[in-house]
Amino acid sequence: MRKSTLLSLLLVFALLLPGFVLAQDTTTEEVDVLADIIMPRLEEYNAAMEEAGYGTLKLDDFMVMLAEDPEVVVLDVREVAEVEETGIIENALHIPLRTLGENLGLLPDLDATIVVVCKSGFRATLGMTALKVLGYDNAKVLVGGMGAYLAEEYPVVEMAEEVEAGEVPADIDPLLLEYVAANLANLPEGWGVVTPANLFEEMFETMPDLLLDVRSAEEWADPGYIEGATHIWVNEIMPNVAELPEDLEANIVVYCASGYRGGIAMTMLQLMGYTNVRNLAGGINGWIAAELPVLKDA
Amino acid sequence: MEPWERVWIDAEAFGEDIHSYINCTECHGGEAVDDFEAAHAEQITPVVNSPEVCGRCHVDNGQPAWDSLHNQLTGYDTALYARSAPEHYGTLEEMEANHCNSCHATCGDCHVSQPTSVGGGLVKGHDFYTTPSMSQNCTACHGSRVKDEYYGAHEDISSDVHFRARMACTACHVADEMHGIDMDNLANRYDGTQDPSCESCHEDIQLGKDSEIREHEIHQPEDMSCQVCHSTTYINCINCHVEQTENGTPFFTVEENFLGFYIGLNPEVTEERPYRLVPLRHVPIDRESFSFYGENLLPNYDARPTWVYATPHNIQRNTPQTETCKSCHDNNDIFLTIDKVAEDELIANENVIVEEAPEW
Repeated sequence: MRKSTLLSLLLVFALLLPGFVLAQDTTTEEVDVLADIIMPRLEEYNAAMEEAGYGTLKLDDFMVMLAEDPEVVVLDVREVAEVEETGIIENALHIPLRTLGENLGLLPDLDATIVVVCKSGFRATLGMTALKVLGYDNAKVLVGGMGAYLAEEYPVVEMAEEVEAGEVPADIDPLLLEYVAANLANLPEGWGVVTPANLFEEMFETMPDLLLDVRSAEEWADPGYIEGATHIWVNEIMPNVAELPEDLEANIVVYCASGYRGGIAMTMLQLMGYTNVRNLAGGINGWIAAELPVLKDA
Repeated sequence: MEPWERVWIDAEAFGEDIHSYINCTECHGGEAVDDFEAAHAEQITPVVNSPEVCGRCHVDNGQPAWDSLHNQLTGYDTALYARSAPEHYGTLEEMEANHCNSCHATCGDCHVSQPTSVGGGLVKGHDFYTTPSMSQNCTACHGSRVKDEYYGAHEDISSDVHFRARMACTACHVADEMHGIDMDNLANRYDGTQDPSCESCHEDIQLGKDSEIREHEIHQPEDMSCQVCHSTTYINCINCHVEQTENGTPFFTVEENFLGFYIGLNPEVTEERPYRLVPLRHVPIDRESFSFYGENLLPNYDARPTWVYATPHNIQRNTPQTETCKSCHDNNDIFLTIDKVAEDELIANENVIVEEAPEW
């Protein structure tokens, strides 16, 4: 019951909010893309999360994977200037994040192992989540990104090789692709990052409409949570959409332990139509490292 | 791996494997009947034995793989028996049966499951694979030395340059070597042909030849192994002792391990390995290593060095040794000089100890 009520609400809001409708046309004559395609796909993706894992890949495991499996695809989603500055991992594809949706023809089939990398892992998590929603089940994100890779002085080449584009996998629903591509193309300046210090400062003036903690219940209990947070485990976002704000322009800040699950949740919320979602950089670990306060239930 | 993953057979996926055309009982024994008790009345073997099972089809590899160092672990026998005496061989075999049997690599340990030494378990739901997995097969056994060095697990020590170039173990250690093809009667892994060798890829920069690398042109092939300059700090272990718990479970303890890099004299100069100097690694042997099984089982302990020829898998283009000539010349710190050898091991190592660093 809750789900169908929310879907109706989302549809109503999508139709009523001119800015939103302009940014992402969620309906066609035949199909309500958000209700009929996006929400079911997010439910499917979210339900599989516990078994499939989040897709985070530590640098050591990434290096082993590169040595063992020549078929692994490394997808660098940084901006052109960043790649020019540092170089790129040999044989990596380079597709800046905002253009990822319109360049899927450069990627191999849906079952390929694709490791998405950016500078720190923040943007790559958004890219990985978008790919997973599109059906690339083996998409992963390199934890620590190129920052960690370069710190170990692993090798890079000057520029990515040019790759001939193939067909977009036929199994991807064109309406789903169009929607996700538009979402990526419209990612905000700054990518939705909010630092612990900035968020703490903001919270003196205005609390976010929703400060969403997506860690597990155990993590909520220890090391604790940020005052004013609502807890929904990332694996259970879709069964709990009724807890989310009705206003798609609501100020939402997501956090997890280190930022990766927060990035997944942020992308899911953006795909649901929320237009003002940010993710706490470094998660609550970064918050605690900045010596900001946490609460613990007795 | 999760416990269920170790035993899970994906019937659909296995149906695509050519081995699915062979009845389970052909490899594992038992009776192919529709009754659990009757089917399992015979001994069921989870680990198949190569020449009799795999060798039936893989005729070129079956017998050599069975005879290979990987399966027979001959290197251990060579080292142990040389330090012991024939009257103790039976006791040592009993010790090996308790402590070493899980190390014998069968065909399946590389091509279908993880080695039993790390708990076993099917890697891909009983699908066979041609190339062993570096992470789930090779380094499952070759862990504390090779894996940690190759992956760069030791703090402040980089991973091997070949790892960084995305080379898995099988890039150098090819099938014929692993299967022991044309490698009969080897005493240990440093016996016989040096294959792989650094020179098989780096042909143009061999020592003593016109390579346009000054250091490579000055030094001769007989002077040193490549690792003397291009490997770096590695792990050394001291005093391994094997025992059993009260209920008979075998276990071992290692008294100490430490990181270090020591150049010493090659304990066994051969035509294939003509080097005078090589890196030496301390192996975890001790006079009392096997005393749980009997007294003085290693009466000829001094017959072999405890600092042995090593090929550390942490190759770097630039190492502390390559910084200047005086990194090695006139620098006793980097050589296995007498002061670095335990008093009780001086005789065992008398042929590998370096009197002093070469003069500059």
